[in-house]
Amino acid sequence: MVKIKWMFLASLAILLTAAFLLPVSAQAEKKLYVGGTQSLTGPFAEDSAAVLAAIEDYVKYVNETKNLAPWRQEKFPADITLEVMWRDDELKPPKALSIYEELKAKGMLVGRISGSPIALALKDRLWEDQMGATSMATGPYYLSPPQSCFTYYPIYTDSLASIADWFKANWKEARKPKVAYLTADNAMGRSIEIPEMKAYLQKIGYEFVGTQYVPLVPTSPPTTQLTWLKQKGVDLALGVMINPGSQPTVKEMVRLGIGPNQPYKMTFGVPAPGHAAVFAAAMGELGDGYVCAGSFRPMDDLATPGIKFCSDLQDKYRPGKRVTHIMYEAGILEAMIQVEALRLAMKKVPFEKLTPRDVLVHGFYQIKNLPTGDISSTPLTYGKGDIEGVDEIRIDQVQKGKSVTVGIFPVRHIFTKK
Amino acid sequence: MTFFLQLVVTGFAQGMVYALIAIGFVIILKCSEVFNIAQGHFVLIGGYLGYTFLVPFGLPIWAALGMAIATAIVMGLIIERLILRPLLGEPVLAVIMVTIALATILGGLATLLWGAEYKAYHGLLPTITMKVGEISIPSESLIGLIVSIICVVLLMLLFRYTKIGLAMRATAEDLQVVQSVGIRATTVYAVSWVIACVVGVIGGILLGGVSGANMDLANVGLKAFAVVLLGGVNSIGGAIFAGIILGMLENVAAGYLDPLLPGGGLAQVFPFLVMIIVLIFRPHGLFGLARIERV
Amino acid sequence: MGLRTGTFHENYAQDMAIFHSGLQWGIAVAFIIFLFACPLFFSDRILTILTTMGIAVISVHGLNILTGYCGQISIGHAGFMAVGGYTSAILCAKLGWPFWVALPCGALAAGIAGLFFGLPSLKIKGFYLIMATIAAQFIIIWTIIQLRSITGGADGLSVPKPAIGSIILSSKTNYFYLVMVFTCLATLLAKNIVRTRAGRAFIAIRDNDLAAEVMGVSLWSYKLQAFFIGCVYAGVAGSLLIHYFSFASTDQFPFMDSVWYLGMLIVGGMGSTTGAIFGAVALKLLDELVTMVGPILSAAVAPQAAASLALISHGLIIIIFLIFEPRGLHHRWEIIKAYFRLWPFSHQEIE
Repeated sequence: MVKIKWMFLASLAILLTAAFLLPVSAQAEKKLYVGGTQSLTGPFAEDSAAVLAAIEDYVKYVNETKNLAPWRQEKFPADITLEVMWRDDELKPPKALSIYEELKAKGMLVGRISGSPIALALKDRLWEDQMGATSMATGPYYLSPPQSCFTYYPIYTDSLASIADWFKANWKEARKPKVAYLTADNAMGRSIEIPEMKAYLQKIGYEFVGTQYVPLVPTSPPTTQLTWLKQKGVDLALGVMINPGSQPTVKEMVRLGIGPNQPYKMTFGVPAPGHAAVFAAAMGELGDGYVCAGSFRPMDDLATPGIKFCSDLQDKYRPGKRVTHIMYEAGILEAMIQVEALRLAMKKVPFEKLTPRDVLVHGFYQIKNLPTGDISSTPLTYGKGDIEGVDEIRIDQVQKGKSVTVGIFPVRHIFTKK
Repeated sequence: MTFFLQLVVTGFAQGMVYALIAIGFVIILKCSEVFNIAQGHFVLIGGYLGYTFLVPFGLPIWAALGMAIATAIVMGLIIERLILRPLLGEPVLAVIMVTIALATILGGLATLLWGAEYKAYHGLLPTITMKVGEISIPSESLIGLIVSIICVVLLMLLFRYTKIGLAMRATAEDLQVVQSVGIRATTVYAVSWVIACVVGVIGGILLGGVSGANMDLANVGLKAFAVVLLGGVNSIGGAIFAGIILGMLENVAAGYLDPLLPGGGLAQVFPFLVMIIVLIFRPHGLFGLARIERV
Repeated sequence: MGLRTGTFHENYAQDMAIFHSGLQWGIAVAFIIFLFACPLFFSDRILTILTTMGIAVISVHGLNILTGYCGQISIGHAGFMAVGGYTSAILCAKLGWPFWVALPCGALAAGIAGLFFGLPSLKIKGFYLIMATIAAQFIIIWTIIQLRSITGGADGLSVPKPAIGSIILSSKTNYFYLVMVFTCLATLLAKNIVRTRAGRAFIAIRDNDLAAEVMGVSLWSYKLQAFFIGCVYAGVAGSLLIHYFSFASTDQFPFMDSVWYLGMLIVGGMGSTTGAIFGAVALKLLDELVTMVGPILSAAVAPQAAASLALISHGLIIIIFLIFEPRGLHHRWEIIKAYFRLWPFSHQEIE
């Protein structure tokens, strides 16, 4: 017994020391790192896994062909190899900090943010070190003041504003439409409750009624909340929800006879990550009328060059193990942005002298109209103070079990820039 | 008034599912004095098992339920033998910590097997739509109610008329007496874990039908603790009663107070408020045995 | 406890001393010098890890006094950290108080919150107390979200960089020193608290509360004292954590952290100051190990394997310690020390 214990402890100690002493591989060839921190554990686990797969595939593609995308002529410098470097932060801020320091020490020039807790932990560090980062989270905290984290879909408040614009454009009645929040009960869902958002809704002619919360993942249908909305005569419900929240909500709406095509007319709209394509696939015709702003295109929409590219990459690099999750597209976008920033920076500063600051100033800030093959609503443009890459927001609605684009609206920049 | 009744009805059905999960907890506690923090994770596994058997395997609902229950039985036996048996007679903290560790491992297994993904199986469970006047009863909750009642009745029968049921009740009463009359306490423990697993998995399938299987399903276990404390930790009847009470209170409180609060979201924290109040004023709950200790 | 050959205790003061010989003094001083020389030869990454480790050690010391010595199990420690952290953050960010005033205030606030939620401990123990502390965790976090106008609610609160006098603690090295000073002080204090009258009363309550009460130890007073001290420690740790991020958010104090602080205590060994340090360091190292193995495992097997590794390894380590070494690393350490102390006439200590 005692021996087993000793052996266990000894092996643990050896493992630990080995892990710390593992040499940082000597860099014989010219290598640049992309990727960054991931949250493979926690609520964003599946999204993060798909993003990671996409980054890996895209890097393989660039390394093999030196092309940046089938629709682009520019080449990636031939003598430089890209490598994916990532760590799992389990969505824990302290872990993200040490991971960030590790990756930075290993020579990583770009960063990545995998969720709101990580964003709050890292955004000031990134700014201090002048490192640019792509981000999967899109809360309003990025905009006060805008620093060096770049998003590739609009932040939640702007997305909801575009839904409000769209709904108002189609409003036929003489009275003011009534709007309420029906949002997830967590930091993400509550991030829309800012005075600027309410002011905008009232400015464009809505009457604001109130807020109802649904648990991020409800364990019972939100009958109570929906009854409340119906009682107050709400016409448009806006909120930030992920699919596990929005699917039961819409299911319950249909059962209670609430919805755009139901006896009681009410439209329910959410921003990405409540992607309409995912929603439609899971709910079918039950989900008709659901509106999502800024969501990605369905993964089987092969007419779109970007989606075709995603599909081809998967055919080539992961045959038989295809990733069907929609965040694969997000991963391609993130990889494209990171690689593009590195490429642009290398035009100004030689590889040997490249610093994170160069990549931020000569890379990220110089990305203008980066074509994404229509994966994002518009080509991506970044600059100092401009961290929302897209200029327009696409609005999709589920109709007859399919995601259909119903409009495109400009980004309103609701959150005042301080 | 309609609004109030709607809240009560929704709460009632919701409370029934809480009660079902709480029963698993109470059974383990009664028989082996183990406070099983992992009960919520049985629910999580149940949700995913429901998905696996219904969607990729494409089994009909009854077969899927049977398969899930079979898996739960195996799971219960393994957990009891490997993790809980070595800790028989250890202090409370060790046992609780081991169930917490068990919860983490179950969470890890769910991540490993199902990639922590959100798996929905809408419309595969049978639905019943019922409307009383203006008040509509959510079909999932109604199904939950029916299944919960069936489970409770089955358990009552088990405890009243079978030998193992009697042995379990006797063990709950006095371990030493039970051992001296030749009942194997370990068998009783194993059966209690199996029952807890089965009940948890059924709860998981019911909840999964509502919102789909997701890692957050495990959090419902925390609500079950509040139910257990309110009802009294060693009373099955108390768990059912408290489950319903808590479900209703939670809904009514959230319905009326949420719009008044700056941040809302009362339903999330309500069980814990109840918990604290119960612990301060009536630690043995509504129906629990008051252990008298004058210190 | 065995003593080294040739060391004798001739009076009470010697018997009660923390260090029994010049050698032990030397080792302790050398260790502290080494600790404070770390920034000279360690990278930013190691410093970051050491800083978070230091904060965890402070927090676990508090939990150790409460749970390890007084036997009052708490799974709400992260909640109390949040009280301390947020108080100090609000004082700094909204009222512009200096950091060195805000930190003690945060600690005090956490202590008071601890007293409040410790009240049920007068009536209940064991599982019931655990439930009360779990409830405390959720109620505290919920309250913070409700008080949006003060705390920033779910959006969090930006906190200025801490400064002591004119020195702004913005660099990693500065902050590392700050945390290490606090960690050393906290360790010294914890070691001494348990040697006082209160500390002995805590142990008496843990071992047999009935006997303690009969002997005249006031359960009422000492249980609350334990809660207060434990939560003051949590408050200091929480405050240091928030100022380290210079951002306060409820995401920094998740429920699972409360669980893992208790896990650290179990791995390290309950009721021992060294154990608290061992536990915090061991689990943090495990965390780092998991992070580094993750990408390798993901490439070899699948990303899910990497993701589940963190959860499964933590769970397994707790179970292994509970089943095979319930007295924790501290006990192992004592055995190793005894082995060398008695060398070459060693004999295996029989358990």
